[in-house]
Amino acid sequence: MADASCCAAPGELSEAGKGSRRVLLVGNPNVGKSVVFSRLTGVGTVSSNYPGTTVSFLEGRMRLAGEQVPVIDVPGSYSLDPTCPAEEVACRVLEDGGIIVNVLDATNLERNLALALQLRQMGMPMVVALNLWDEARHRGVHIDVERLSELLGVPVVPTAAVSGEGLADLVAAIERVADAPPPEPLEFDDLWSTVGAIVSEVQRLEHRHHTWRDIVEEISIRPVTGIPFGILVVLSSFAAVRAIGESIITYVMDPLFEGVWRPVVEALSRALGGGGWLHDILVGSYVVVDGARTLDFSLSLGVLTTGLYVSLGAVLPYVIAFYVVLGILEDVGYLPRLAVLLDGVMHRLGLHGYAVIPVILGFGCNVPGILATRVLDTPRERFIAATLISVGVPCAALQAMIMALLGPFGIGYVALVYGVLAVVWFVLGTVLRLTSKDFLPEMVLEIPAYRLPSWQTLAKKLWMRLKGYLLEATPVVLGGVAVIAVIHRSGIFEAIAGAIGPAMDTLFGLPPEAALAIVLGFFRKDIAVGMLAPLSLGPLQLVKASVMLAVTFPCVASYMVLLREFGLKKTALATAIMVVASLTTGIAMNLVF
Amino acid sequence: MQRRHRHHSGRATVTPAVQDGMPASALKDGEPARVVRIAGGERLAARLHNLGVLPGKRVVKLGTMPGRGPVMLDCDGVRVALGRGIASHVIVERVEPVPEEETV
Repeated sequence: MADASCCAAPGELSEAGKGSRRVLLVGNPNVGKSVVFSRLTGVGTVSSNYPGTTVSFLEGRMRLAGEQVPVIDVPGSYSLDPTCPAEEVACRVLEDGGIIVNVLDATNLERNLALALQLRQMGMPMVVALNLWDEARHRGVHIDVERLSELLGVPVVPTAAVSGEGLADLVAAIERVADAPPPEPLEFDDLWSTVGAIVSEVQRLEHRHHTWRDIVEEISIRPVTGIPFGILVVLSSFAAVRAIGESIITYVMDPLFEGVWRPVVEALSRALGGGGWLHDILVGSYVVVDGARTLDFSLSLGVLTTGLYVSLGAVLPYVIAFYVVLGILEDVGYLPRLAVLLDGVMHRLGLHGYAVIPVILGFGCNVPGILATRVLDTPRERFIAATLISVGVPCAALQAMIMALLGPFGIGYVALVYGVLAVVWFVLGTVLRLTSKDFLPEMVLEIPAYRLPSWQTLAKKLWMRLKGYLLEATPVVLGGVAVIAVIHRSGIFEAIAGAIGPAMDTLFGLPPEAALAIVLGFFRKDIAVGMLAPLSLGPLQLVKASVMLAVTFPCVASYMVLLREFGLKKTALATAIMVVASLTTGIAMNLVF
Repeated sequence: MQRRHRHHSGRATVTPAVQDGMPASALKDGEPARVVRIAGGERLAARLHNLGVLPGKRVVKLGTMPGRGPVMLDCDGVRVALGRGIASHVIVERVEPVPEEETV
C-alpha cells in the first residue's frame, strides 16, 4: 500500500501486471483518471499513489469478458516525449504493452488530443474515454463523438466518471478492442497542426456560462484575493481536522475505552494478581489520579492501556480527520493553487512552490511526504525538502498528542508550538538555501479547474491510508510501549535520566526524565509525547519538550525512507543538521521563555 | 533570472521581424494578447505546448504572485502558472479585447 500510508515502500508491479492482457489508463494530469480507475476496479487495489505527486502507480483488477485482468493507473503525462520523471515512468509502462484507455478531458480537447495522437502512433489496442462529459456539456462544449472516433480510428466513449455515466459503455468498448486485431498506427506530419485540424472539425463552442465555480476560481487564482483565500483554506483545514479529531475522541473513542475496554483490562489486572512483570507490561502500573489509585489510559504505560489508547484512542481519530480533509483538498484541486501562492516564499527556502505538496503530506505522516519529494526536479531540492519535512513538520500522530497534552492549557500554547516550528523552518530553510547554491528550476504548472470530488474515490483513498496506519504504525506503538514498560521497571530509566539530567536542565530547562522521552521519540513520536504526560510539566516546558521532539529526529520509519531515498552520506548530513537544529532550538527557547 | 539574458540575445538573432513582440510577463493584468512564439529551447517550447501555451493562442495575464512568485496566465481557458523567467520567454502581442462570447 505504498506511500499513502505510514512507513511503507512503494511496491513493485505484480507479475500479472506485466504483459499485453492488461488495461493501461493513460491521460494528462487532472482529467479524472483516478476516478475512472476507481470506477473500473473493485476492491483490492494494491499500490497507492497521490495523483500527480509520486511516480509510483496504482494497480487494480477489472472483469473483462469474464476474465480478471490488471488495470494500471499510469502517472499523468502530457506527452510521450518525457519532460519529467512521471512521464518517463508512463513511457516505460507503455512499452510493456497492453490495452490503452486514454482518458481525455472533454472540456480541454485540444491539449488532450496531443497525447491521444502520440498514443495512436504506437498502434496499440486503444479506447478513448471522453471524460468530464457532463462538465463539457455544462460549459457549452459540443464534440462530435462519432467523427472524432473516425478520425482517431479507435472507439471514443463519452464518460462522466464522478457520476458513473458512460462507464458501462467504456467497459464494453474495452472488451471489443481486446479481442480485435490492433488498429493501424496513425500517421501524421505535424502534431499540433493535426490536433488543430481535428479540433476545428469536431468541436463547437457556445457561450460559456459563468458558474459559482468560475467565481471561486477567479478568487483563488488572482493574487489580491487568492492570498487571503489561501490563508482561510489552510486555517479552516486545521480547524476542521481538530473538530473532526476531537469529536471522534469525545463521542466514540473515549466512551469505547472507558465503557467497554476498562472493565476488560481491570479483569485482566485482577487475573494477573495486580502486579508483577507481565502485569506491568500488559496492563501497566497503577497510578494515583485525583486521590484514587487507578489504571489510567495515558499514564499507566501498559501495552493494552497506554499502547492501545495512544494508537487507537488519541492518534487514529486525528489520522482519520487529517486524511479526510487532505483527500477533499486534493480531489477538489486546491493544492496546485497553494503551490502557486507559496512559490515566492518557498523560493526563499531553496524550494519550488510545488514542494508544498510533499510538505502537506508530511503533516499526515513524514514517510509519504519524503517519498513525494520525488516529484521535485533537482536532487538538491529533494534533499532540502526532505530535511525540512523531517525537522519541522510534525506528523498527525505527534500533532494529536501535542493537542491532547497542551490543549487543556489553552489553544494558545498549541499555537506557540506551531509558531516556534515555523520559525525553525524558515531559519533552517534559509540557511540551507544559502549554503547550497544551485539553479532552481522555475515553475511551469497547470492550475486545474475545480472539480466536485467523487465520494467513492475519497472513501477508497481514505481506507487505503487508514489501513496503512493500522497495519504499520500500531504494532510499532504497542512494541514501543512494551519496551518503555520494561525500561521503566528495570531502573535503566533512572540511570539515563541521571546521566543526561544536568545537561537537560542547564541547556533546555527541562527535567531529566524528558531526555528519555526525546530518545524514545526515535521509535514513535506519539508514545514519546505520551511519556511526557506523567511528568506533570508546566505548559511552557511542554511547549519546549514538544518542539524538541518534533525537531530532533524523525521516527525510525522516516529514517529508513531517508536512507533508502538519499543514501548513507546524505542521511548522515541530514542527521547532523537535525542535531544542530534541535540543540540550537532547545537552547534558544530556554533563553526566550 | 540569468535566463533573461539568454532570452534577449536569442530574441535579437531569431526574429527581428516581430515589431510588437513583448514578453508575457510584461503585460498588464487583465490585458489580452496573443502568443507569437516561444523564445527558448525546444524543451521549453515542448513543455509549454503540453500546457496549451503555443503560438496563436489568446492569453490574458491574471496577475503575478507576490515575492517574485509566478505569473498567472489564462490561455484559452486553461490557467497556468509560469515562473517569471519562463513567462518572459513567452513572446506575445497585444490584441483588441473582445467581448464575452469567444469562439476558437
